Order: sequence, then structure tokens, then C-alpha cells
Amino acid sequence: MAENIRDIYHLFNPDAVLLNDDLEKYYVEIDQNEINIKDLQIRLELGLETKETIKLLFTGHRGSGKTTTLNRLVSNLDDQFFIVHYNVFDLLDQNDVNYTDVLFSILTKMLEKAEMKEIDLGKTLLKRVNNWGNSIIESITQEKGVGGGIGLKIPFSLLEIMGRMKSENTTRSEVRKEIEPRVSELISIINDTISEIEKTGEQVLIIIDNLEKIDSDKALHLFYHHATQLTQPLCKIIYTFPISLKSSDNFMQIKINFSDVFIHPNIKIHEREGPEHPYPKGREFMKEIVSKRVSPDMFEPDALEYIIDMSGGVVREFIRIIRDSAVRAITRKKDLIDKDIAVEVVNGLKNIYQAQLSDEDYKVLMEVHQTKDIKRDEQLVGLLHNLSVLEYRNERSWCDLNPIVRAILDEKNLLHK
Amino acid sequence: MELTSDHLSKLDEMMTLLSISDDLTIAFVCCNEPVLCHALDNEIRKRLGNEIFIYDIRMNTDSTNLIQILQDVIQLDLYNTQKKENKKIAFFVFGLDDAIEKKNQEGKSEALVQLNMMREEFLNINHTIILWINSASLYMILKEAQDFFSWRTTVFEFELERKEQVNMVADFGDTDLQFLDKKELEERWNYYTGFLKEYQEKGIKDDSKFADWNYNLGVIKLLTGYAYQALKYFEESLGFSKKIGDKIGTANSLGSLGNVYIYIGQVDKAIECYENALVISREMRDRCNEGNLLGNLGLAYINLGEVEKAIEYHKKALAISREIGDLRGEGADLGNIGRAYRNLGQVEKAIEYHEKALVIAREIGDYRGEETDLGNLGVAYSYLGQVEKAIKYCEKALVISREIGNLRGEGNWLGSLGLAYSDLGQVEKAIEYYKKALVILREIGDQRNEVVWIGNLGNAYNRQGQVEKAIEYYERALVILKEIDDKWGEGNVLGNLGSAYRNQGQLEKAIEYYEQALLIGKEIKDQRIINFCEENLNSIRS
Repeated sequence: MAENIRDIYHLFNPDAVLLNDDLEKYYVEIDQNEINIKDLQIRLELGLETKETIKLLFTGHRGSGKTTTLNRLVSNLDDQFFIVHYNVFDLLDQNDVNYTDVLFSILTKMLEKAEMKEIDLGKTLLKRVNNWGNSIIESITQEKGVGGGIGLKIPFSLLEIMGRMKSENTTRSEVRKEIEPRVSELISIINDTISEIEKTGEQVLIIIDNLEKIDSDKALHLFYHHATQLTQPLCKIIYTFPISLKSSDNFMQIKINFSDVFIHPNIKIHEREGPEHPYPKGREFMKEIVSKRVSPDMFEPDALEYIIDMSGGVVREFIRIIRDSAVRAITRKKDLIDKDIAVEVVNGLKNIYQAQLSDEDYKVLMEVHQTKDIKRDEQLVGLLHNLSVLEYRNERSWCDLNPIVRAILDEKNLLHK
Repeated sequence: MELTSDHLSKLDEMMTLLSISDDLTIAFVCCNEPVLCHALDNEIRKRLGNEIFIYDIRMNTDSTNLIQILQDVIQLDLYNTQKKENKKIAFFVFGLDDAIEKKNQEGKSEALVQLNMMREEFLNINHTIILWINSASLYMILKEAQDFFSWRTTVFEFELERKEQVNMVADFGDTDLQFLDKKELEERWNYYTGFLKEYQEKGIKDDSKFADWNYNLGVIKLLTGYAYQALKYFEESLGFSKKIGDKIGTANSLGSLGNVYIYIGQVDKAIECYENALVISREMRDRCNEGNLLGNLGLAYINLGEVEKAIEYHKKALAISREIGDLRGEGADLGNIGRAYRNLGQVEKAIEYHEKALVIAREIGDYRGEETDLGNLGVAYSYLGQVEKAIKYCEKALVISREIGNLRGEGNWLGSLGLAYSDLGQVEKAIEYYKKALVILREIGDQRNEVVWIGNLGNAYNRQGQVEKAIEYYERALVILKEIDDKWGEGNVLGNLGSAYRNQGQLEKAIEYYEQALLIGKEIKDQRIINFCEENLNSIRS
């Protein structure tokens, strides 16, 4: 347990994801989330019996704790499934992802895992994978393929292509040009690989994280225009999905193609009626995140309450404000975080949020403030995407302004008209 | 090329018309194959000798006003010299097919608007006018120049006495199997049957995989031409997909079932499958499959003879393929549009489309597409009378079909080669090719295509004067046509049988067959069959 303000800096890292020991040590359960994970887990476990090829969309605000939840899910299910769990940006370029890339990454990661688990995929299939990989290499390099023969378990060519695709734009577009007209070939290889793996009795579950971070246009292209391809692998897949697309006109259509949509909610810190109606359970949860790491004495009580208010219940924002406050406290040679410091940090964040907003946005924001309704609205897509508007759940979903954005509107006297 | 007895008897009628008419008489010769038009024209001139002076008129996109052209001609010396000599004059008008293409501002054909409006002016032309057109133009005239058309006496329709393969370009949808050769297909066949067996032995019940494997097995059977076996696998796959509520899978299976029904000649059933699949694909917003299905519906309508409707469907499919960047689909759609234009007699336009499709197929390494495009080019060139070119293309298609183990393709290109040699007058060689084609098609149980080449074999023997042998083959075709319930084919073969017996002097038998054919013609409302039978029956009885 941290006793020193410097430790706060190290223990509150918004970029770090809880894994392994830390997951045990720092993970805080909260009812609404626990029910959610349980639902997801039960859905998948039932799928074991029926052998359904479930395709789930998993979504939530940036920083709401999706990755942590997925990590928890993997550790709960690891002995029941053949799990292939990866961060899509380990393989692909964040700024440019399309459906063939995603399918390609599924194949590569699945082969990697099969090799790790020493599953024999059979000569016939490996030969096909190899020929396929080589034909792509040949066409993009104009050289004879690397061969590699049947002895190699994961055809080397695939790894090479994957590596190049991440770093080289031209390779990426050439590979796509090669795969797209014959995407059926890739899908057939994926499906036959799944069948080979599942012969062992284990069922394949693929979890692709961080896919929700690609920009809205690319995401629309992926989930709307190519849903049919994404759902073709005959196994269970969890795709992370940008919450902003939920307000897109095309969401209903997207939903038809997938089995279910799971929303990882933000922590509700007050009720729909407004900040005057706090939600104690949520606030307790936020405090627990702190108390698992440091002694709450490191904060002046009103400072912590203020930070909880301004985080809007987004865990990562919460952690970020605390970390920034620690930095500022150290600079000011203070040994605890007081409200003045927290207010300064939040004021700094205001500038960042304000810079994202356009005139049209203000109209939508005022409406959200009035109605708290989530509805289909292309304007709202962007605001959900940049966290200006946050979604919460009771029985029904509702949304509210990010408290920092609310403060911006308040300063502009836009709230009480 | 040689003209058949059918052609010759129609020519007799044309001769009669030319010799008895002594006032304005408007008639059409409708013929889709330039090579046949040419042969007919030669034959008429030969027969007329000096009896009638034929004045050739050529229209084109720069010269679209027929009445104006005729009025100008009447002023010319050539015309007046003939007239003074008291020669009978007839106008043969060529090139209306081209002239029709020029559209006015409202998008109507200039040539046809003028024909229709200036109808009265034709009364001053006191001669027979015969317009040589293809069936696309005939369709346009019916649409845009009805008043003019109503003045005609006769439409003489000539068809090459040939049937080539039914449309075999049905889209197999999005499956990698269509890129494989015979050996690879066999390997896959063993692979998927192996999976099925292994999962069954281990007691793993996995419906989505069973659906997938059965589907693949069906595609392999269809690709190698065993349509009835494919039917079984697709039905199995459909059952699994429905059971697990997999809509995309259901649509795919329905679409493939539709393809099977086309192959076995049950077009109505095929259309039903396609339409059902289309509803699902639209609901799921599966654009790629939507495009495939629209294309396949087009093929179905071509099979029903509704070519204009077919082109509409193919163009819709093409738009989708382009929108989603599906090159393979684009190639298939272009090829299909080409096929449709050829059916309408617009052979050059057809060739343009096939060339475009060929470029795409080669670009993406789609051998099956390449094979189809080459074969289609071959058939198209044979319609233009460029038989050597036709043979070259069909042989190229044949080579690819053997490489990739496409038995259906191999059979049909062999047959097409037979037709080409028959055009060259090498009937023996043609018979040889037809027989080779039949062996293959019989092996894969593709009755739909088998019957086409049996019919052609009958025609070939007929041409050689071996009427009994011809009758034997027609009878065999008849059995198959009844089995696959192809009324149109049945009507045609019955008609052929009638003519064969008539040639042998067995008039009672001839009447019997013509009457049976007439009955079917009336049942399916096919005017061509009805006219053919009535004319023959009348001439026998008188």
C-alpha cells in the first residue's frame, strides 16, 4: 500500500491494463459489471453445449474498463475454450484496418496458438495454408515464395506478410488487392483450421481487443459493409466495437448480423435525475479503486469526491485525473492531493474537451442535458466517440454530459435556458 | 454455310410473296446470325435471277430516315432505268439494327419515330420493302413503331438450326472451390467427407460445420456436373442452416439449390429459390450475395426466353458488383450480359462484353471465368460466321476445362466445336465431336446439356440424309426432355420428328407429330412452334 505521493504516480497509470497478479490485487467488483460479465460468460458456456458460432459485439466507452473485463473473462474461461485473445494493433496498423486484415489476423493468431498447444493441423491443411501464403508473397514481392515446406507448423510466409502489413502501406494495399477477390479462400482456410482444432474437443473462442479504437469511418466499413465476412468463421468471436456506432443510422442493420451486443457501462455516480441525486454504490466503487492502491488519507476528502464527480464514472479518466493531480502535488511540494490541485487539473482538461466541440455539437449537448435520451443521431456518434457524452445503464440506457463538458456549457451559460 | 430444309421452305414463301405482290408490301426478315443472313440473301438473289430487280438500301446511324432514302432513290437513274424496262423492283433494307441505335432527345430511336410518323408516305412506294433485322430490333419496333409494324404482311423468322449449351454460367457464389482443378477438388472432397466421418465417429454434433461441409460437397458435385447428387448435399446443408437459424447459410444453400434446378431444367423452382434467397440477403444486407442472386435470376429468365428481363437483372447485378468492388462478380455479370445480347442477335455487342469479362477473369486468375468467356467468344464468333476464330476460342476453353476438371465445360465445348465443324460443312467431324460430348455429359448425369447435343446429333444425321438415324436420336432426346419436363424442347423435337417423317414420305406419322408439337406450342404459348406446325400441317393436308 502506497504511503507516498510518488507511489500514486506509479500506481495510477491510465495506460496500464490489469493483468495476472495485478488483476487479483486491484480488481474491484461492481454489481452492474459483474452481472454483465456473468451474462457474457454464461452465453459463451451455453454455446459450448449447442456449438453455436456466436459472434458478439463488446462495447463501452474508452477507459471504462473493457480490456480489464475481457482479461477477466479469459482467465475464467481459459480451461473451457481454445482461446485466441489478442490486441488487434499488435498485428495491424491503428490507422488502417479493413475486413481482410482482421480475418487474416484471426488466421495467423489461431495458427500461432495451435502451434503453441502442439495441435496437429494435418498435412492437407498446412499445405493449403502454405500455398496460399506463398502465392501472396510471390505476387507482392515478385519473388518465389519462401517455401518452408510442410515441416514448418505455421507457414513462415504468413508471419512475414503480417509483419510487413503492419509497417508498410504499399504491402498492405497489395496484400488486400490479392486477398479481396478471393476472400472465400481465406475464409475456407480459417474454417478448416477451426474444424481441425475442434476435432480435439476444444471449441475456439476468438477475442479481438481494441478494434473499437479504429476511427468511425473505418469501423463503419468493417462492421456495416463487411459484417457478412466477419461472421463467417465457424467459431465464437468477440469483436470489440466502438460505442459511438450504436447511435449510427446503420446500427440496427449491424445488429442483425451479430448474435448479441454487450455494453460495458460506465460507473454510474449519480442518477439520471442529475448530480444532486448521487448513486452511493458507484461512488463507493470509485473509492475502492483508490483504497486498493493507496491510503485514502492521501486525499483531502472533498478532493476525492470532486475527482469522482468530474470523472463521470469513466475509470481511466478517474485514474488520469488522480495521476495528474499527483504530479501537480509533487511540483507544489504538497504531500497530499487537495481540492485546489484537483480543480486545476480538471480546468486543464476542459481546454482539451472544448477544443473538440463544434457549434453544432453545442446544440446536441444542450439537448442531451435536457432529455438524457440516447437516440439515433449521427451527430451523437462523434460526441460519444470523444467522450463528451457518456452512456449509463439502469434498466434502460441513458446518457449525460461528461461532467467536464457540463462545466464548459455551464461557464458559457448554456445550461439554464 | 448450308441452308436447312426449314430455311428453304421459308425462302419459298418469301419468293411467293415477292412474285405476287405488285404494290406496297412491307415484310421483315428476322435473323440473329449474320452468317445466316448472308446465306439467305445469296440464295434469294440466286433464285430470283433476272426476274426481280433488288434495290439494296443501307441504313446506319448517319442515315436513319428510311422514307427519305426511298424518296431520294426514286429520283435516281438506276431506279428509273429499271422502271422503264418494266422490271419488277423490290427494296432490301439493311442496317436498321445500327440505325435504330441513334436516339433523339427523348431517348427514343430516331429511325423508328420517323418510320412510325411517316407511315402514310410509304403508300407512294409501290414496291415490296423487305427489312432485314435482328430480334432486338424487332422488339424495339414492337415498342416504338407499332403503327408502322401493323402494316406489315409477314415476319420471316430464320434461326440457325443449332442449339448450343444452355446457360452454364450460373454463379457459384462466394466459394474458393471454383478456383480448384480436378485433382484439388477430389482432395477437398476427401477432406470434407473425412471431417464428416471423423466428427460422426467422435460423436461431435456440430450443425454449423455440418452445414458448411455439406455445402462444400454440394458445390464440388455441381462443379463437376453431378447436379442430382449436388441437390442432395445442398438440401442437407439447408436443413442444418435452418435448424441453427443461420440466415446467411440458408440464403447460400437456397441460391445453390436454385443453380441445381437450372441445370436440371426446373427453372420455375430455381426462380423460387433465388427469390427466397434474395429476400434473406437483402434483410442481412449481404450485397455480394444479392448481386450473385440477381445475376442468377437473369440466367433463369434467359432460360425462359425473357431476354429483356434477363438483361435488366444482369445490369442490376453488375451495378452491385461494381459498387462493392467484386471483380469476379463483375466479370460474371459482364459475361452474362454478353450472352443475353447474343440471344437478341446483337452479336458484336455480345463480343465486346465477353472481351471485357475475359480481361477481368485473367487479371484475378479466375480460370473458370476465363474458360466461360473464351467459350462464349467462340460461340459468338460462330454466329458471325467467323468459324475459324470460333474454333480457336472453343479449343482454348476446352484446354482450360480439362485442366480444372470441369467436365460439364469440357462436354459443352466439345459440342460447340462440333457445331463449328458442321458450319464448315464437315459433318462427319461434327458427329464425332457431338459423340465425345455425349459420353462426358452422360457420365456426369447432366441430362439438360446431354439432350442439346443429342438433338444436334439428330440434325447432323438428318443433313447427311440418314433420316432413320436422325429419328432415333430425336426419339432419345424426347425421352429425356419428358423426364426433365422441358416443354419447349419437347415441342421443338416433336416438330423435328414431324419434318423427318415428312421427308421420308410417312405423312400420317408426320401429322401425328406435328399435332403433338402444336398442342405443346399452344400450351406454352410459343408462337414460333405453333406457326411452324400449322404451316406444315396445312401444306400436307392441301
